Amino acid sequence: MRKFSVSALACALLAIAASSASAQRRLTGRVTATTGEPVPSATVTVQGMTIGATTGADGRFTLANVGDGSKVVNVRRIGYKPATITVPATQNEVNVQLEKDVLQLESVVITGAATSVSSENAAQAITTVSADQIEKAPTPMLENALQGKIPGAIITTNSGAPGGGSQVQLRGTTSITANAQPLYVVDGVLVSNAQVAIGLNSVTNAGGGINSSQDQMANRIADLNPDDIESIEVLKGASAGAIYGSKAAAGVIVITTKRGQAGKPALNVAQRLGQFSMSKELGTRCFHSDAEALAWFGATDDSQMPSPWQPNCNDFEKQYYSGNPMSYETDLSVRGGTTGGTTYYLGGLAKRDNAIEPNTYFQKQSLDANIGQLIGTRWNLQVNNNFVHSLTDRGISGNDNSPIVSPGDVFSGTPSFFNLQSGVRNPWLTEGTNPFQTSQKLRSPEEVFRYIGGVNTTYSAYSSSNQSLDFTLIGGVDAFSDRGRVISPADLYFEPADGLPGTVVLSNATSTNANVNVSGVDKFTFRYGTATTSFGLRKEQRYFDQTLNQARNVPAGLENFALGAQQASSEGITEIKDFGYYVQEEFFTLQDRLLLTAATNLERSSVNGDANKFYQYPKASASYRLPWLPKYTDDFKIRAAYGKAGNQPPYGYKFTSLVVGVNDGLLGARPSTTAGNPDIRPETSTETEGGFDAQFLGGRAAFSATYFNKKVDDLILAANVAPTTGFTTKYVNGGTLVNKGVELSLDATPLQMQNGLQWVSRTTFYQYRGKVTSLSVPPFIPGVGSFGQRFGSPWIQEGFSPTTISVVDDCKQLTASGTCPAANRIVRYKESAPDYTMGFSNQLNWGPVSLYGLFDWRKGGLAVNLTNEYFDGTGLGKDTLVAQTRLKNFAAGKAVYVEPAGFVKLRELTATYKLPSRLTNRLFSQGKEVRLEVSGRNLWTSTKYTGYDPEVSNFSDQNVGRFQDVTPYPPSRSVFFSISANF
Amino acid sequence: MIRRIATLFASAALLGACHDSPNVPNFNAVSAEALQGALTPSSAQLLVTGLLNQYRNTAIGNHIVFPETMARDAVRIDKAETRYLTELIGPTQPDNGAFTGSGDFTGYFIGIRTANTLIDAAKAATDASGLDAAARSALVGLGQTVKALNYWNVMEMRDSIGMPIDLDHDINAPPAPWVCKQNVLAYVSALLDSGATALAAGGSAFPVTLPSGYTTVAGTPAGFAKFNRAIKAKVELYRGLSREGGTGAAGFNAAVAALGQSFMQTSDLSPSGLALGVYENYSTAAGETQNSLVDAALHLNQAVGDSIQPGDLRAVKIVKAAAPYSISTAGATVVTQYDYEFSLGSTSLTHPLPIMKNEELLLLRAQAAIELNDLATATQFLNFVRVNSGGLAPYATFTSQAAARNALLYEKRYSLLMEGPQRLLDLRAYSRLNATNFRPGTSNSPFPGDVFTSALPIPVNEVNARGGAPALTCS
Repeated sequence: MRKFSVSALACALLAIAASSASAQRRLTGRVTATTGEPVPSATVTVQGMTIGATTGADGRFTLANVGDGSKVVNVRRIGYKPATITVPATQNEVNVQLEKDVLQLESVVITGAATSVSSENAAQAITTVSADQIEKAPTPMLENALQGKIPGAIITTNSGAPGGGSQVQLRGTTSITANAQPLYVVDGVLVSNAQVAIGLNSVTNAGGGINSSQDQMANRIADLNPDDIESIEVLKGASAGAIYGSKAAAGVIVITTKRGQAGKPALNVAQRLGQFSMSKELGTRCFHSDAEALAWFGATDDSQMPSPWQPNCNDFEKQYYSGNPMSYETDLSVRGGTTGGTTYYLGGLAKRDNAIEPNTYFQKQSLDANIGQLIGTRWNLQVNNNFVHSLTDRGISGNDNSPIVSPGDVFSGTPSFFNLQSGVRNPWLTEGTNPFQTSQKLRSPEEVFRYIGGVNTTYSAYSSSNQSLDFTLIGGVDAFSDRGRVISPADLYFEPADGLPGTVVLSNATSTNANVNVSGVDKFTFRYGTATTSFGLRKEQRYFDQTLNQARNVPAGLENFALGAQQASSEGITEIKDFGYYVQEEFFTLQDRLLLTAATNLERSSVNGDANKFYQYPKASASYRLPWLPKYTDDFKIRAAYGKAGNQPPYGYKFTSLVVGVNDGLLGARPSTTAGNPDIRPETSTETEGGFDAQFLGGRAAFSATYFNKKVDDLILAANVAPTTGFTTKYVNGGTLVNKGVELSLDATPLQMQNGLQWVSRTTFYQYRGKVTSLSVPPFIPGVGSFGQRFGSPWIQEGFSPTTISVVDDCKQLTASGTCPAANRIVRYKESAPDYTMGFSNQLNWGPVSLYGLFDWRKGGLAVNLTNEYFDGTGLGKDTLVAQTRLKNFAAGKAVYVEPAGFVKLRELTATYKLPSRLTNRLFSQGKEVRLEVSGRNLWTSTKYTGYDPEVSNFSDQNVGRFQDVTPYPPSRSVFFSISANF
Repeated sequence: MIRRIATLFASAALLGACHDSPNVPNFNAVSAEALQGALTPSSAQLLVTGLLNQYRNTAIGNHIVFPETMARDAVRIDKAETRYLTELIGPTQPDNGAFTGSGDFTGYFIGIRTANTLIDAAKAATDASGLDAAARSALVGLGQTVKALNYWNVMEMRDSIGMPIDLDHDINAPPAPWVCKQNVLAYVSALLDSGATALAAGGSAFPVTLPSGYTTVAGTPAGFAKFNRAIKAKVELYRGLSREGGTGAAGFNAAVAALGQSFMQTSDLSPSGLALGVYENYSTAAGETQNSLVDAALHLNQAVGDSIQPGDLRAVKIVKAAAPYSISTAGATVVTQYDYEFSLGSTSLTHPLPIMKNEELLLLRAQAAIELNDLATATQFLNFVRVNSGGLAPYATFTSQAAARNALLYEKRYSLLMEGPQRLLDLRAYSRLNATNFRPGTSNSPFPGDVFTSALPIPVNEVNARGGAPALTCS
């Protein structure tokens, strides 16, 4: 058995050739845009037949074996409206004109591992984001480019630190303890979106141990270059993503990178220069007299204070978060190829973002080489290679314990009359921390080398006029090494505070994902329609290993952890093996109006309690385009879909282990406080969705509405156990949650003037409500990190939303002095998730000028602003009266730190000017395009939130409880000037 | 044709499934199965070290910082975590959902479970597995003694709130009844007696090696029994003093009797003689634990430094800083200029901490004598400490219990400074944890409208897991 590998057999299959049909009628033609230029890469198909062709760079195509008689030819191209032309029996030459699709209503959406369908017929609300929309404004990270554009998604940035750290949540919280992040698939390769904690916790002591979730981690999807992406399809849940089985419950983000296309090499160059700046300041209290300072400190003369009053008011934020050098980005890409031969896309990127905190940055170089090759007439090979190098230093921010190192924490404890900027020891803190010194000496680089590569090959084993059989092999790897090193030298003021001056932490993480997917697609056309049967198997393996070496008591100037007097180390390994089969049937009938799909996926995984058991994930869907349309309506489709997907237990949940330790040189072991579950099962998400898509006014407007109901059963819970049992946690499958919601989108071209003035508008609306409908364990505070119910903790209880904040917000009986004793506190429950979100994007085009803006509106929602608590306690916040009132109310048991977190943000604003062709023609040759662009990101925010940014998460990405604000890295706005040219 | 291809494909699919084993082991930890089956000398060693290491990691840190803060000996000035002040001595009181009110709790129950695992496995072991009857008895006695110590440490901080006793059950068993203080103390006392009996039958040596901090006093079953009696004396003394069902003179007499069987001695009152005891050692070697009192934020209350008598040698434990430390929080400013001797410095990371030392036993003997109104003996034992540890002139024989108690509180404060909750227990027992002794708004107690917290609450996870606060069972 071992001798046969899946891929070997698949290759053997490919060698079995079928005979080709004899040459008959040939149909040739040319596809052009209404504006005259040729349209390459358009798909030309003949209705009722399986044959098809793709246009070359000159827009030309050839269809062989068309057959006799009158034929209906369909032409499609992303970015253009589709065209249908009837070719009489006598005609063998056809020219087709395509109209630009400014609303981008047309696209192809995937339905299976090797099948796709036009969005016109799609039965699920799959949002497709095209390259054009991704590149509207330069983005630090891929996720930022999606913010405000996808109904059904809430995309949140964890802090302002450079290098990433964003969370995408599709159709609500889908898990409490297991993974709730979407699966990312790049060209068929399942890629890692891991967050690696490089050991900053060894300096901040924010959490226990060498690594911690409070390490302000970046998620590694940050490595992708948005400019290399052709399109992103967002499968929001099980009904669309069931084919990805036990990894699809939280949705799937399918990324397709740019491919080559036949034609002369097309060179694209863009150079961007920009600047990040602090977008909001909290402000500081100024002391106008010695008397005021003395009264604040409770002293009678200056000598009793750590430093005497000075008539200065240092604005620490302004002094610290500024003066970073310019950021740049250079993009270069070439695409081209020969018809029927090799096509290629080469993309290169070099960028460096210099963020607002001194010496923090993110830099990335990436190289994308995608090669396509047609071998003979039957065999198509596409090889994608993406090499990435990224280097980032995010500095220190967020929560800290002892010593105090986080700049925000230091600023909240140092009066503004003391001059920190000089870098002297800070007498106002025991540890003496001065961020102006820390940022000059402390280094925490994290360097990633990554390769994502895959092969996608299709062999047409058989084709006749009414049937075809294709085999597809998709396989690839995603491998990266993530190397972090925290160097906190002994001469930093705070370093001796732990008795061990000097800290070095070395983090080495390697991640390798590999997957292979072999499938067959049989397409059979008969009198009543087309039936597409696909079947296949998938195999995936994911491995992650991180070692951390911590050294303390390291002499200044040394960076090798082995030179530290005190050593600690840790290693964490994850290995997961999955295997699955699937079969899918699609039936297209009634003049391509009705599409019926049914599929099932059987999958097993090593992380399940029973690693040999196959779990089944079926799906079914139907869509129907109405043949009778009311006035002004171009197309109306009703759709419904159902699907099941799983969510795997995290690695290790099935094991109960022993905790080992060394005491006096002897090895000891005790039972772990966490009880594993040998019967652990995956969570099962069952989703039903339904809706309609309509197009009006000759393509001037489109409206789409979707209702979804996502039910997650067998919730994996790290249930709290009564600590008196000696356990703190046990893993159980015990609960159900339901998310119900509505997604609406309205795309329109309100203005389309003869003089070329055009206004394109896009509005999205998303609302959902989550509810835990059953829970087999008592209500609990999930162990994801919080600072207690005094401030606001997540809370899981039957009948409550999973995003509930539980917080002390009243008192049974105050004491005489107006404080609320712990026993008298009343806990109240509030909703942290927004009521709804809306996105408004508008673009005005007028000749060479275009102006684009995107507003992201989040209505409602709450966050816990602990940064205010820091300043309130010291009385150094800007508004002392407000602080005093808050303190008084806090003592009386009020939830003063839970704040409204709704906002309106101007996410993107871009003005573009295309140089007149007169000029470009003179400077270069004919047909070149040069564009100048100024774009800004997060230029304007309106919010009631009093902290830096209501989008904040001290604990990085997490399913629930992502609302804690603890002196974070402040958010920034960016303005970039770009010049881009196509040659 | 198609059928052939489909058949081939189906076979390929089946082969794919058989290709590789789907099982992946646990790479990151030792499986719990390592401790299943009959206890052997090596698995006994693993468990005993695990039990004692768990105790070392638990009965330090917050087990010292919390009660010493509540007793106004320590102040932890940490701007990033002001709840050490606002909740432990401030108006808001310990929150049972935060690290304060839920702290110093779970670790003991891990210890109790580890002890139960050891006791059950030792009882089930046989000669064939390499442990004879004496060895098994020695292990049971050790397990019961350390288990009792864990229960006692919980009661030190939870006091009248009580705790469950019946804990040797499966994780999914219904929660054990919550038992009142006097019943728990009675149970601890009986458990210690049972441990002493088992140790007496434990032969001349343990079948395992104990950490070096234990071996001076408790390296053999007989020595461990003396350690057991020392704990017993402390438990009995506070049973006598308890405001809830206190045993009074019976407890004090039991304490005196237990002290007689403990390692208390008056023959050598040199510093090393006073220091004789059972210690936790710390190390900076890989995998080891360091003394967590090394903490730049940890300071001594201004009153500790200001109140020590001139010439007291124990002043070496108190370091006066060059400039005052201060923090403004919750509308008040806390200022102090004193540090504990090893709250800083890398050498202090390995500074041992006593679990029980002769100096404390002498003070417990004096305290029992005071409560039995045997003031001559009380004066004698107080002076053993005052003269030899403090280097001060001896007290004249006390004429009143009140005066003797004041002297006792002074000697205990400086002899046992930052070694555990002893002062909190005494202030609580003598009803001195109040505004009469600690004036609000002063450096002793910087918060206006101060609330004196004498015990920590039941952690919220415990309350939630039980579906509400448990009813107190008291027979």
